[in-house]
Amino acid sequence: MLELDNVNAYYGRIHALKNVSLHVDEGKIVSLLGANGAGKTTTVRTIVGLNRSTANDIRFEGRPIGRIPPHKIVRLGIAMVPERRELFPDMKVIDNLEMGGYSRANAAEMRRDLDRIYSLFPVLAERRKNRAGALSGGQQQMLAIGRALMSHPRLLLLDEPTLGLAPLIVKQIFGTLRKLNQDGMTILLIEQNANQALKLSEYSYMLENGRVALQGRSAVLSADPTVQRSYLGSI
Amino acid sequence: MKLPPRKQVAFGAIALVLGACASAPLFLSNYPLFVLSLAIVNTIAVLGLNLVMGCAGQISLGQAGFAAIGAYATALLVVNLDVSYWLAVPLGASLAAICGYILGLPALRLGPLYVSMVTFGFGLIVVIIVQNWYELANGPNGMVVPPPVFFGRELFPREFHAAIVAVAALLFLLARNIVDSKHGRAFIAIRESELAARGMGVNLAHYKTTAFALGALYAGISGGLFAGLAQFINPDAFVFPVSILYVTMAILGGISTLVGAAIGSAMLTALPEVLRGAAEYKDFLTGFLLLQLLIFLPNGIVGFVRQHFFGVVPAKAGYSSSGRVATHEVLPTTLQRRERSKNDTLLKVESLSISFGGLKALQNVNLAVGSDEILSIIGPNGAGKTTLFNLISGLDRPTTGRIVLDGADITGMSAHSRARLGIARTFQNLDLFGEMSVLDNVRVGAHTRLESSLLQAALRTGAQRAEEARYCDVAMDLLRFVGLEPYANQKANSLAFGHQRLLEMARALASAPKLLLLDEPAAGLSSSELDFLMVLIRRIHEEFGISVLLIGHTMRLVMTLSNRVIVLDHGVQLADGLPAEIQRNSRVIEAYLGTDDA
Repeated sequence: MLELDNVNAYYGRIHALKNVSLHVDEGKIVSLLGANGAGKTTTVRTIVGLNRSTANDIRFEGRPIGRIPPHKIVRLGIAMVPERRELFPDMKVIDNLEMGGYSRANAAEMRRDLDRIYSLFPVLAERRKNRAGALSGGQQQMLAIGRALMSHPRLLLLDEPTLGLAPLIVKQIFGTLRKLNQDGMTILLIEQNANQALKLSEYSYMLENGRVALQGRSAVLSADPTVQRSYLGSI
Repeated sequence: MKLPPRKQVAFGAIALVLGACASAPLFLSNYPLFVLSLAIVNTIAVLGLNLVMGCAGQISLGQAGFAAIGAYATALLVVNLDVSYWLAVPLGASLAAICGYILGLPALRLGPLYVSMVTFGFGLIVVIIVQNWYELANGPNGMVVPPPVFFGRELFPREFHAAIVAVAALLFLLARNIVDSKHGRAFIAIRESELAARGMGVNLAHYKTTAFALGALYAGISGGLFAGLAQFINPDAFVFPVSILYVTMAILGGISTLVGAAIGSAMLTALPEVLRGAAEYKDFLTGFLLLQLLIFLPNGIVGFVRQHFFGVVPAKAGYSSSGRVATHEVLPTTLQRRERSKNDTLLKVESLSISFGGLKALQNVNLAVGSDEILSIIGPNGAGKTTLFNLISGLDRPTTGRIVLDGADITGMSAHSRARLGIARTFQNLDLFGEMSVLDNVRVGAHTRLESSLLQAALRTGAQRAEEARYCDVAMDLLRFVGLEPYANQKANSLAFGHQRLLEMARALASAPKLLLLDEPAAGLSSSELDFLMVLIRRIHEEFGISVLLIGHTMRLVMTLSNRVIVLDHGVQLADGLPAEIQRNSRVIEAYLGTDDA
């Protein structure tokens, strides 16, 4: 569904991604792991067009998207839940969600999607008239996911969705992702909580200094003692 | 230390320009020389603007008003009271500085938009006053200023040029010294984040008013020199468009760079002269050129040159991400171990409550942090943990209750005073000074430990230089300690999220605190980085003798490191006990941990 073929990206003179290749097959959950500064966020930003790769080497459903601006990439069916959520804090919950559906105009569809998101996260329905900035951290993360879903994506990119969340909420968020995937959503997940991410995903990539250092089926990786030792820390 | 090539180039260029300016009377005829003198006089006003706007981030639209005060005060003193011109200029500039200080006061309470309106209004009022002040200032007709007298001889503008160059060079040097000191860093810190600056012990009131006073002082000197150069002043020279012209000069050159002030002033002073041939299209061409420059050089000319010729050097990772945690044998010896407080209890919080609107964010919370303890606070999102940190560090005031540090009641104290007393913190959502370098962020952290005054910094006294160098080493040691040394010269906002967290920790440590408040230090760290963090926190506690109060969701961190754990839920203290007790507590499991293992 999504293919990156030797993608390079730069920040100024910093070579942030070096020949990164990865595949996300339709209907799968793929996780992208690695230390800080390894290039995970850069990868996701490059996919959605917020960073530019140097060549035309990213394909979504067979179509090159490396030259397409971000707002059009959303229309193709890719949505991102950004690191640190990036909500519109002074707008109401419901307005944040409607902003997520900005690229689509059909009001009836919009209402249907709102209902779907409210059933996924009932607490958002309760607080739909509140300012987004007034929500707790967990609720804000649910809103960020809800907002991304409003664009009706087929591929959902999540950049550290459990950052700063209490254990109970982390479980809920992972539960929701599993459910979304069972309903057919393809997911690319960046996560520091590597063990959880390996449990949830089918396939994983490890980034190191802007390169793919290791990849494989998640079950295989998490059972590998060297991986445990060098990437996952002592548990 | 040998100068890096970038600095060598910069110094060479400045020396060359200065030499050319000083020797200009030898090869320029009267009129071009006058234009050059004027450009240098404008540079001085724009330097002031660089300090206020570029560094401290306070928008000032009244710079011409301050120049008017300097010019008119100088002229009136010379004409009416027979004061020497060379004394009248500093007196006039001091008056302008006092006005600037007073004008800075509203900036303490008002937002940036209102402050800019206040300075705008001030500039207008000054002009209206001199326009209508017939008795003294001859109203709109202006005043003739006698030529400055130097050892009994009246100076021609050609000769006066030398004085202008000398004063400008001196003021440039002083401004550079200030920017490159703890005071300059405090200005920039305020621009980048007032909240974090307060947390580092920066007194906002002091620095904002000082910034305005400094900016006005420069404008006042510029006005005084203008009076001596033109030997005639009228209100038209100080109208609002002139203030805007100064702002444009600053932005065109590069607002946060001092060299930019000279470049912007020179270009915009010379431009009308260059376009003189195309008289009727002059305004149009000026506007068009400016627009082009600002579109294509958003960071000004100096910003453009820096970006394209002196780009950031790529850094190597501080520790390998293959998970082997680098052990940092280098202990920051410069950060001496603190004597343990004689009191057993370092921090005591007594029946603390706070409400926001109708929401009771904290209700009757009691806790004590021992002088040799790592205490953790856990609880669901929205439980009030960060609010508790805000109360302890002084960013919010409690509705009721008391906070006692080392035996002294600090409940009513400002955030920057508490930082001085030894409370340092990190922020949950990160609050770095993003545009400053990684190293300078840590140096701001040491703000309260540097004692040099603004004057000492401006004059760069030996003691001040030694102090700056010492704390630069401390900052570097701390960066090494948290593994960020290779990134020292990068901008803070270019770091990955987890590295920004470590930087916040180094910045907090730079103040040599007694109590370190860490708000979710592990969020955004991978498992192997978490191992590294745990080593760091343990060393901070054991080797530096700092007590740690920690908010965390990462159970491995909390349960391994803490002596004690406190659980908050909906603003109420749910439990307080040893890590093992907390993990078995059924109410905690229900509210926070969930049913199976976390």
